[in-house]
Parts: sequence; structure tokens; C-alpha cells
Amino acid sequence: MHTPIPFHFFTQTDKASLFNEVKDCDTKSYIAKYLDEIGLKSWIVEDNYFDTDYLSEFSSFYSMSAKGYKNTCKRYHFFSEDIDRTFFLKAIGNDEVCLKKLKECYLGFVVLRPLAKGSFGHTVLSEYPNDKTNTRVLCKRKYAVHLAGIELEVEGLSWQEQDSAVGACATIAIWSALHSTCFDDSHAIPTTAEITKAAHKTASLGARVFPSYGLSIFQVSEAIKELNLSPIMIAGDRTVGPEYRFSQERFSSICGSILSSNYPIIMAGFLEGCGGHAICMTGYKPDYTKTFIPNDVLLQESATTVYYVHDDNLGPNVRLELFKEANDVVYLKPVASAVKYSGAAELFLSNYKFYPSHLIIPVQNEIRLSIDFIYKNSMKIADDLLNFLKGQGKNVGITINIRYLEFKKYQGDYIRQTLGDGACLASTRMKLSEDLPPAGRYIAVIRFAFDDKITFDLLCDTSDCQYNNILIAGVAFNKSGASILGLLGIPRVIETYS
Amino acid sequence: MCEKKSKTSSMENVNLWDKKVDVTDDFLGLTALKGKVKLDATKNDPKSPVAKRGECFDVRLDKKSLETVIG
Repeated sequence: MHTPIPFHFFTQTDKASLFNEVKDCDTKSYIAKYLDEIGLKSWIVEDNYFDTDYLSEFSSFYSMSAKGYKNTCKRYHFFSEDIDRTFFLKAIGNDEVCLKKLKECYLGFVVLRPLAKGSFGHTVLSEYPNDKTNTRVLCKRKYAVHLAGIELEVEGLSWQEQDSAVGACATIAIWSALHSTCFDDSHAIPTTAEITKAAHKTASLGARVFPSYGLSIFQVSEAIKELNLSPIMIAGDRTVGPEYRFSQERFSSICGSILSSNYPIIMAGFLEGCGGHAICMTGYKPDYTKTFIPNDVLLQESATTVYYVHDDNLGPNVRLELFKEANDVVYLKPVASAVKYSGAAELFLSNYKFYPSHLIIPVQNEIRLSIDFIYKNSMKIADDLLNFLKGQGKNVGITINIRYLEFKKYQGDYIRQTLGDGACLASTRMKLSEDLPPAGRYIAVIRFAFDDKITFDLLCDTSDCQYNNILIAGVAFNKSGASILGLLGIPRVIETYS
Repeated sequence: MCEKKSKTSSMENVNLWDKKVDVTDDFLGLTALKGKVKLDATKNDPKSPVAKRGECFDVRLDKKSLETVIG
């Protein structure tokens, strides 16, 4: 039977004892260092915590084990200020100053499962400090956390360690991705046990469900479908023996477009020294230093080399950099960072070399148009325009950037960002409402710039198949944009400048 | 884990989604051609460098590779 246990309060002087119930491992040293980086000063431990994911794992697997696993977890709450029991009592007694400070200094939580392998359960930690350019793009969301009757909030994306019984890396990568993609009005976020079961429902070919030592890429896709989403599956454009690999242009362009559309990416591939592996890509640092080249097409996201991943063997937001081999095959490796990891994590990171082979993106069922198709056709249009303009004696460079967006967001924030406030914005928003046939919930937007001037957007219907006419309209940002859309024979052109 | 500090020039980090447009601009001067010329992107020269680069976005999935177990 469970017994009541009081909260435990710890301060910086106790740092050596942080997670002392967990054996030394890569994950433990990574997370301890991560917490240092985000400014950990104190933490509170709830010794009796029922975690939804662990209860689901317990019900599916651990409850039947002869070992007698507990069904409760420990939950650690982290703060960037010194929070002791006296201060905490004031805060939960609704002392305005203390409560405000407690909320402001909350860094997130870690659930520790009562398992020998895979102790780190549901974890959400705030992101580590950004550099001065502040350009990191992360798929994240807000989590409400309840502690002694008060609500704390942390922004991040769920991560957990694989336990290799209910979920291996592929299950965990799906779980992390769906914590963002399923965070809407029409989906429920599944537990790891539900994901592994969904993966086996139609595609197990006789393999047992638990213990789960891994999933095939087929099963990853099937699990996504079972959970009422659709997988966009993208393979590399290079091959090394029987294995797919990616060129930088394809990898970085697609990842940039997808991540900036706020979809995490499940990345399958080969981890050197380990074999098949899957991780969840959660963000990137756009590199827009590469400017347009006359008579050429620049895919704006293609220069990106810094990515952030949740790796179930290590921790959340691991910073990886893209490197190229001689045959234009890319791999990801942790970069030399300002912080040295101690112990196991340092060794793991120094040997880490991941070759992506497939990108799997869970999206809403309404998004049917492949990102590959959009890129390929954008390149065709750009090529045609370059040749035409060259014939007119105009040596311009074309830059393309592509996103999937909700139509309301395009008509809302995005168009405002581009046009600024005023009459042009009002008129464009009205034209988007009144001059177009009904648009689906999601559209693909291809933004074209000529030299350094944003010229037009092509709005594509994502709810149809690529063989039908998917073009909804062109949005011209100036007379040059309208002229080009006219040359291309775009049937509906919205002029933002009139 | 900490980001490397980098110097930025004025050209860096110009995101096409963050930049405002000048709606009065007709920098390409193509207005006179409006309605007189029509381009057809389906008739690209497949040997042009840009079209060749576009081929990297035309990958057919080999079902065998989807059976690879990751874990």
C-alpha cells in the first residue's frame, strides 16, 4: 500500500545528490548538465506521483511482471530561484509576490519511473539560453503543471527515455512529436503504450507487442494512421549500398519548411556503432546568411546546419550540426559546445554520428499534398522564370521559402508581418476572404523573392491530390509580382498594393 | 549545450517571412508584358542545372527500406 510522503525541498548545495536514485548513465549526466545550463537553483520532489504515461505502461506491461513494480513515480520540479518550504508555503497561501516569483522561476519537471532501465519518464524542461541572434525555431507548447493546488507553466516539448519494454526509440520519437501535433481540439495525445499497440495493430507481421525492442518504419507510419493523423514519408535522395541517405539541399530545405510550420519530424536512420535509430527533431537554427545568386535559385532553408533533437538515449533539445561527406551525404553530430559534459554523456556525444535515411512527419489528415511535390514544382516555376528573365536581360536571383500554414494564420499574423498595419493589410485580408473560393483549413504557401525583394506568394490547396489543380491563388506584393503571376497564367491574383 | 556566440552582419537572418515588402515597387519592370506572354513551367529543360537540382525532390519510396527496424 502507498503511504503519504511529504514534499522534499533541495537547494544548490544538494546538487551532488540530484537523481541519486538513478544509476550513472548518459541521460543522467546530460539532464544534470542541462539543468545547470537553464539556471537550476532549487527543486522540489513529489515522492508519490501518478503519471499517465507510466500508468499506461504499468497496465500494459509492468503490472504482469513477477518483480512487483510500484505504480507510482517521483516528480521533480525545478526552479531558477532558491525555493524552500517556508517560501513555498507563502506562495501556495496565495501571497502575491511569492506566487508570482514561484511561477516565473519554474523551469519544468522530470518524472522518475521506478524502473532499473529507463528511469527518466515524462520530462518537460524549458529551453536553454539562446544566443544574441535569437533565431532558434523550436516546436514547443505550454504545459500546465499542478503542484499543491497551484498551477505552474512550462514551455517545451515532452521527452522521455526509452525503457525497451513498452517503447523503444521509435515509439518515443512518435510520442514526442505527437505531443505537439496532437495538441489541438480534435486529437488526444497518446501514451507510449498506446503508440506501440497502434504500431502493431495492422503491421506487426507476427512480432510480439511487448517487450518492444523497436519498430519498422512501416509500423511508425501505421501507428500514426491509427492515431488519426497521416504520415508524410520522405526518403533520402542518395543511396549508400541499400541504405537511403540525404543530400543537404533536400534534407535542410524539407526540415526547415516542416519545422517552421510547427511540425516536429520523426527522423529514422543509422547511428554509427548502434544501428537503426529514430529521434524526434524539434527545431533548427535558420541560417539565412547565404544570399541570392544571380540567375540561380536559392532554397532559403537549404543552408541550415544546426538542428535540435529529442534523443531518447540522451535527453531533450540535443544540439546537432549537419556535416557533409564527399558524396554529398549528410550526417548529424553534436558540435563542440561551450559546456563540457561530464561522464557518460560526454563519451556518448563524442561518438555520436547519425545518418538520416527517412523523415516521417505526422500531419492532420486534411494535409494531403507532399512537401516533395511542392518543392519540385517550385523549382520548375523558378527555373522557367529565370530563363525568361534572362532573355529579357534581367539577371536576378530567386529565393524560395515554403510552409504549411493554417489559412487563418496566413490571413492573420503572416500577411500582417509582411504588409504591416494599414489599408493594404485590410484590403488584402478582405480579398482573401471575398475573392477566393473556400480554402481548406491548411494551405501550402510558396514565397518567392527576386533578388532581395519579396515578390509574391503562391497559395496551394493541401486537401487535394497533386494531380488536380492545387493552385488557389497568387498574392502579389508589388507590380512586379502581379506581372510575373500574369506571365505564369495564375487564374486568381490578389494584388496587395492597390 | 550553450549556443556559440556569433557575430551578425546586416545581411544575416533575413527571413522571407519576417521582412516587410515595399508595395509600390516595380523593380522588374514587366508591367508592359502583362497578358502578352505566358510561361509554361511544365516545359522546362530537364538538363538545366535548376531542373536537375529539383530532381532531388522526386524520390520514390522503396518499400523494402520501410521494413528496416529502428530501436
